[in-house]
Amino acid sequence: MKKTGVGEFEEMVLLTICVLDNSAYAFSIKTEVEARTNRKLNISAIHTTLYRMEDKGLLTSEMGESNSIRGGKRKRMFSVTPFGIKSLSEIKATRSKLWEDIPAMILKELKS
Amino acid sequence: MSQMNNTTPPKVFKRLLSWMFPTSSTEEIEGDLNEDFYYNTQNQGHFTARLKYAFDVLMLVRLYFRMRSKNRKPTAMQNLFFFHFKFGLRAIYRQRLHQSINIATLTLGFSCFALIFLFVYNQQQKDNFLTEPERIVRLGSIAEWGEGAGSHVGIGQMLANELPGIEAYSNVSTSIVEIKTLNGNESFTETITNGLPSLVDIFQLEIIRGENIKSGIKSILISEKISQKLFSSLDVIGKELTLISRGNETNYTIAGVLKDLPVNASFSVDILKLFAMNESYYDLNSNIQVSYPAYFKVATNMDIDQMARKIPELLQAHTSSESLLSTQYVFRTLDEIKSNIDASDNFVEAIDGQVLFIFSVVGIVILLLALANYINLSAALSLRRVQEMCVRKVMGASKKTIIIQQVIESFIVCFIALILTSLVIFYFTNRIENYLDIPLRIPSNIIGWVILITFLGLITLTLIASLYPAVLVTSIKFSDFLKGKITQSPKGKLIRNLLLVIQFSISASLIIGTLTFLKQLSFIDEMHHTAKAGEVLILKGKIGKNPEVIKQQLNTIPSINKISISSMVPGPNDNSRGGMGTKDFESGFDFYIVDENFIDVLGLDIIQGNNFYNDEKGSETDFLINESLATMIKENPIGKSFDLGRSTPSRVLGIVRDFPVQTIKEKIKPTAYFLRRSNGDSDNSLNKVAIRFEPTDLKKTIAQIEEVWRSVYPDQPFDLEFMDDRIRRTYTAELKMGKVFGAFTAVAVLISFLGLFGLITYIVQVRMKEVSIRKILGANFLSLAQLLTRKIWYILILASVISFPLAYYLLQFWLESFAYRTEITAEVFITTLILFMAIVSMTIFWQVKRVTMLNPAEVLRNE
Repeated sequence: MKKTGVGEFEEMVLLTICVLDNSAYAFSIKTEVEARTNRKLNISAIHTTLYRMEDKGLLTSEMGESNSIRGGKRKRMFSVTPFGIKSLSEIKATRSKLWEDIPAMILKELKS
Repeated sequence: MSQMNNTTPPKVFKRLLSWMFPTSSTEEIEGDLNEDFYYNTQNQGHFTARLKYAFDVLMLVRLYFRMRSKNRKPTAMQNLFFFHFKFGLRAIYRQRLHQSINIATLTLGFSCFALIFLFVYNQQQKDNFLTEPERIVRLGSIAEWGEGAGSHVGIGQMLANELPGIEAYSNVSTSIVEIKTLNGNESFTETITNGLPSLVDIFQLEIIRGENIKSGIKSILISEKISQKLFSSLDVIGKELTLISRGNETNYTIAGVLKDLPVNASFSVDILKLFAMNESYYDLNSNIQVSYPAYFKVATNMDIDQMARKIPELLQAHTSSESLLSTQYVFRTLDEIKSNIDASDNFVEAIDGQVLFIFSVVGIVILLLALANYINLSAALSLRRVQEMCVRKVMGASKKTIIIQQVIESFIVCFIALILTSLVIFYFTNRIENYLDIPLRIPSNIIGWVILITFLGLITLTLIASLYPAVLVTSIKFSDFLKGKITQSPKGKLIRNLLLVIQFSISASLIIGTLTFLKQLSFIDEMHHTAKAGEVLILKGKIGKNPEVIKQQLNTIPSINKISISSMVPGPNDNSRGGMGTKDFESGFDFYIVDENFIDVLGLDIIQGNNFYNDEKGSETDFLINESLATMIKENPIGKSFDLGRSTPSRVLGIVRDFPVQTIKEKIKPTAYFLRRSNGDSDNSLNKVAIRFEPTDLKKTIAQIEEVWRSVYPDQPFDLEFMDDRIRRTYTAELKMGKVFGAFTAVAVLISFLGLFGLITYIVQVRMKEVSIRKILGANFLSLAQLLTRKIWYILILASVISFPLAYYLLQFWLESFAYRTEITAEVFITTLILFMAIVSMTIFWQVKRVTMLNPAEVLRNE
């Protein structure tokens, strides 16, 4: 398996961006991940993860619109690059391969 | 109001955030934080929201660096230092000929300056490890012939006992002996110091093992260095050493080990042996006078002049000797001893203050020459790059960028020169130290300062050398240049020519100085007939009543040609007394008691009249005079009789060519040579035997002489010296200085000519196009050479006009310190001028030749 270099939290953020489709920016990603995982996150943690993934080429970004809550500052809208999608699917393929190879007995216990 | 406050994030952090991410490309961070803060306030209350905001801002610090480097796009263009550096190297490479001249001259200049600095510094820091050096004094005796370093050994002993304020006393003498370990085969030649045990106290020597020497026991102290050399360990107490002095072997027990003296000590004690003299030599009334330097340690805050004034009084109680009482005694401090080269002993090394001064001046001059050269050439070089600068400026470079680039280029050049300099210094210091026998070390306590000053110097130099050309270049109107109105900027020509004039003036002065120096040295050499003096040996001792005995015995040695016994021989003073005045010769003169062979043996010339007993048996009242004395007598003195305070008037037989007696800086004393009385009246003062020998088997001859001496005078030390060594001792310092001075002058001249070479090359290259067109139109080599170099000749003439009178006056001033000096003649100046012109012409010829050889089409096609 080729190493994708995508961590667990990064994978989650990536998937969330996919889910959010065109409205993914730091704050919306934060609330989405919080809602889905029941975890409290810091916005700065999201920022560092986003910029790191952008450097890796998993994400691309462009400036979006702004509003008064944001103090007139624009949003940076993120979207997953083809390389990001590829990495995600690689991860998924590895996982499903693993799931497939689990012996039936243990699989039964896991499912119950 | 409170509502508003509640809904705003903490001000400090907000400001920090906008400071960290000021650009619009990172404004989303601030926006996201605001949004987050807004929802947090609603869900969790404003306190938690503010806390979270602050926390987030702090966590974002790690993004700060990433954003900064990301915003610098493109990265390469942003990193201007790197670019300047790269361009600098490239520009230096492109002008490699001129830049290597720059680097060479700077390296030469720096190296010479550093070496001279080390020399002068080391001389000035001599003995700085001594505490209270002013308490170390030497007794000096001033007789009519000048000041001597030695004094009657009995006086020192007497003063130590009777003069209040003296804490310790020791006579000092040095001698060169062979030493070997008791059962070792190898022997080493070392200088040993003879002194009393108190010498250790006076000169603050440190005994690290064992104890001091004692009288009565044959014991010695050796330094760590000697100990390591002979035994490879410091556990040497009680071991025995054999000292071989003039064939005599004596065993000594090592009593202790001395700590090595610092390199900057002006004295050295490698082996310390007890100063032992026959008891009778200490008798102040004895007619044998043995003189050695006497050092004292005086109590704190004593007035040494006042102490010295008490000496005659004390002496009167002990002696009736006329010569001791007529001498004036002084105490000389260590500093005075070191600076008075005329009255130096072999123990404390003296140095000529004038030498230090001249060297400092030469060092600074060389450094300035190198700097002037560098500034000049780099200004010329950067003017050639006006086009490049214009293009840069058009492309958007600011004045600042152009200046920075110049600075960095010149920094690179200076830095390379500095590295080369340190290599040169590491390579040469040891060699120069060995050659000149002077320390050139950097004491570890100033290494920090040296490094600091070097770097400050480097930065200053870089700024000076680059700002001038940078300002020149940037002040050019670029639009004019681009329109083709200016091809070469006329700016800075005046300063450049001025610098060139100064450089040439200095070089010319230095060349004149060196030539005069060489002239003076050969003049001195001529005066001394040193070639003949190598075959003369001088024996010193109390000859006494029966000079015929030793004379006959020595004459049996086959290799000896001729022997003369006299009271004095020419050379550095050795405490011989002399000087008397009569009513005919008021100012006084030296008188030598000689025998009839004296003139022949010592190789003196009779320039007028006759030698003793040349053709007729003359009378004992006849005498010879030297030129100096002859000039005191107005009419021709040959055959005249003078009342010299003797029973009968004395008749002048001949005139002897002047021969320097003491140092060459002193005037030759008027001297009269009297014949030894056959009745033995004058025999008391005979204490020199001059021997002219066949230089075939030197060792055998000396051994035979020693055998004779020991059999005739068993109680006297055997003290032998070569006449040429004796004479050379009077001007060793000048000889060495002459060589070093010559070397430095050569460097200075080399720097100037490298500069000249660079400038001519520059001028030729700049006018390449013009020269090519002229060539096409039919100009020949001569007219081209004339065209290109006319200005250089003007500069040369101007430099000569400035430097010649200047050099003349400075040299007159310097020569005045010599009693007998050569003239500064016109030929020195003419030689300098010819030398100058020859080198200039050669440089020009080479360059112009190169230009005329080029195909003009090649040059013109390039444009």
